[in-house]
Amino acid sequence: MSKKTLTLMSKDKQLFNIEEHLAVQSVTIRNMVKEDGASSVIPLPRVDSETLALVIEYLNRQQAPEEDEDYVKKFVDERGEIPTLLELAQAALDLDIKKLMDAACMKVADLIKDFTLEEVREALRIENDRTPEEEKAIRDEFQWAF
Amino acid sequence: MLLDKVLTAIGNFCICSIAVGMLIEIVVMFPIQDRKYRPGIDNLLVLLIGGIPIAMPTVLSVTMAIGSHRLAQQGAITKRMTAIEEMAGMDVLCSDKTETLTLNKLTIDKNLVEIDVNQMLHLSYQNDGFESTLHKIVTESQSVVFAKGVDADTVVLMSARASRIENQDAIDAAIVGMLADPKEARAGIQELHFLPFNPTDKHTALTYLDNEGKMQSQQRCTRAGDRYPRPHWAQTNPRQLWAEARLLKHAARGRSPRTSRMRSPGLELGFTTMRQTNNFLFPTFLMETIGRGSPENSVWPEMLTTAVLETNSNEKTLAFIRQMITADVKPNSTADLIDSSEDLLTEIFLRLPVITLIRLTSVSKHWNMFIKSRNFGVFRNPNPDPPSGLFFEGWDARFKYHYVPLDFGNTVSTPPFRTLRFDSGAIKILQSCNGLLLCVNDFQKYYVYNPTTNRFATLPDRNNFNPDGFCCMTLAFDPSKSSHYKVVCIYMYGVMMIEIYSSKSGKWKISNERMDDLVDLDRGVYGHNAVHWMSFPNRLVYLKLDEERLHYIDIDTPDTTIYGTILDEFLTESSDGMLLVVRCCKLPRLNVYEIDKDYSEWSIKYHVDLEDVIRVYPSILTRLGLHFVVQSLVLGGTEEDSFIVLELPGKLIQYKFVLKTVTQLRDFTTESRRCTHGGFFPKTIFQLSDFTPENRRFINGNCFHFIPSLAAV
Repeated sequence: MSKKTLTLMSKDKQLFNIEEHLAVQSVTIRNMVKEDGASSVIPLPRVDSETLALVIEYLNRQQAPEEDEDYVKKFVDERGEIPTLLELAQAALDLDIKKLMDAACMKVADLIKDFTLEEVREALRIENDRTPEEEKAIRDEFQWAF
Repeated sequence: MLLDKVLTAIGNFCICSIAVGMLIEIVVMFPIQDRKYRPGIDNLLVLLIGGIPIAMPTVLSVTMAIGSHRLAQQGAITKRMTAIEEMAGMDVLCSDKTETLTLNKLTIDKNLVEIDVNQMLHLSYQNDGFESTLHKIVTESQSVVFAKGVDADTVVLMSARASRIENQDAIDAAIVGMLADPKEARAGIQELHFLPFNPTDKHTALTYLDNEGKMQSQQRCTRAGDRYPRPHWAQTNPRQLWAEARLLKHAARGRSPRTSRMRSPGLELGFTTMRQTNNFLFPTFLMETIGRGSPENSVWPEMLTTAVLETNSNEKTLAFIRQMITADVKPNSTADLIDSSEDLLTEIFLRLPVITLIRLTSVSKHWNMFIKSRNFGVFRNPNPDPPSGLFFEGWDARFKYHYVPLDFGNTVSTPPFRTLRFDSGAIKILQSCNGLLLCVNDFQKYYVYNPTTNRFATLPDRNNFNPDGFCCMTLAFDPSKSSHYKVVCIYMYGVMMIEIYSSKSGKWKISNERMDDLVDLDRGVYGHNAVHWMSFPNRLVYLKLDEERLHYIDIDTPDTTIYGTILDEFLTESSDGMLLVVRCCKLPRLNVYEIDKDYSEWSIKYHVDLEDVIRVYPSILTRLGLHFVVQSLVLGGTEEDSFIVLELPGKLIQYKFVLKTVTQLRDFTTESRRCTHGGFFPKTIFQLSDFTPENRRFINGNCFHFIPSLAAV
């Protein structure tokens, strides 16, 4: 079997090479390859180069299938920063790499599960668009959950 | 028909040729060569026997050849000769891509373009979860999410604008072909930027200036085609569900954070879905139209407002728009990242427990709307959370509920309610079923209540309603199967009638079945799409909800075979089958039986050994036997998590019977003086003289699981 190489292009126009049989773990890439042979560069306009490097590191892993679960977990755990994880999850979602997406989303969910509201807002950089009164009203309604 | 004719014709031709050949042979042999009679016959036979078998395959292959020739004339290529024969034998051809097959062309049926402004509004009104936000959602919907005056033609025009007019793919061509004149797709607008379809964005977009000049409006049309990748959760589901889910997914995209952030009085967003007739999966077209009033009263991002106000020149605006377009694909902060992708938000939220989601509704308005939206519920609800706590009917006051948090799943320590006050009258819980509670008030009004979201639905009166009559209701709700629930009511109306309410239709329907067994009616247990009752003696009766038929299962548990009638039993549900918890007579243990999926046999699932409980609480061992009441049995995702909740005199304990750990949930003896007379259970029960090993009965069922759920009622 000849080892074909595909070229992926990140948002900031950096090129990455990856062997085709590894790249097709991504369902999106697999469909593209199937559709038109994907001889040229595949642009990934939503993925920046750092994230794409991570994705490629993951795709290039040489793991036995039974160790795969642990590997993905470790892979994600090593990158415990929420922004990185979000980028990674988004990229995995776009490229449809299920295991990586699952693991990254799970990790984010685990991290924010026990955060307070302020911590969640800070970690995800979401601004509070409610007045304190509104917030209190909603808090009072579901007081038991806090 | 045609094939028959051709076959006959060729057959006739062959037979005729043979006949002619024989005639010539006869003429040549007898009159001319003057041969003898016998050898002449032999020669004729040679021709006859040799000719017919050769003629048969000739008939077939010549037919086929003619057939493929005819097909070729009509422009079809035959790959396999026999296909023609198969086609000839066909009466009905079923295909999911009819027009691709017949015309090699996609078409769109304008009548199927759905612009369901009112219905969508209605849905968000009805199902958007929580009452307090209801008003907001509705007003926002009217002004922002759904534009008025969008009709099928507008949808088609917008979609056409979002399609290429040159180098078209099949879908582009189909959409542009809908217009009377393909030029209309770009008529009166100045194209600024066209984003072709790509697998990351999954849509096409056109940004343009309209003919009214100075940046009066900017329109962005989005078309998501059928190349939209399947999300992983859809892979196991039937295709139709996937189609539906995709519609919903697109519906969710209609309220994208981008548009919600740009919310302003002059801003309108048209939201529509369009179905393509030729595809089984209904590729969905979604478009947004962002119109804008005058720049003065709009709340656009500051940058744009200043750009427009300062210069008002077209170049600047153009430059800005280009900037917007590039910004569109380049989220540069975390906030942008998570906000610009509802897909990602969905994936993360799907992995959070409901209780956390409830808390996260306070984070921002967008999250609040998102979590409470019906679309998110559709994805989240099929995986219900494990029970977080138990409600016990109060011993000190009627209609008061005591809440006991469980050491299991996502513990909720504060009671969601103490008394139910969502409607008039004192309200009592009858049953808890996968997150919903069935309740009744003093005036025989029945409710389905979601304690997590604090929403309720009042059930209408049933057909043969009699306020004084007796009736027993059982709630049947399985979010993994359907977002709708059913309620089964059994009542006396001459005979034991069964009526079934479905939240889908909102109506009661009298069933043809009659309950003629003496069942424990108020202990109906829902599971596996059927409502189960234990009948006397030891008979399992169940009503299958899909076929609405009653079944009677007469099989004995081993305990019955040994001891005759069992009085001590209670029925509960697990993921595999119905469970029957039986108190073992001789040993200090409980036997948990499980019925097979096909209802053929009770098999033992667990022996719950109570020795460890006795070791910790020796007081339960009395002269009259073991004093305890089983309040609940919960099977966890993994075996180790499974536990039972037992009430001992003065104590409530949780016993993980696989790990053999005992946790005390409540100690009534140290609580306020009001409950000195017992626990959730009247102490008298433990003291009853008939509470003996020979004649005792579980009196459970006044304990209800609290399962956090976003299910709409």
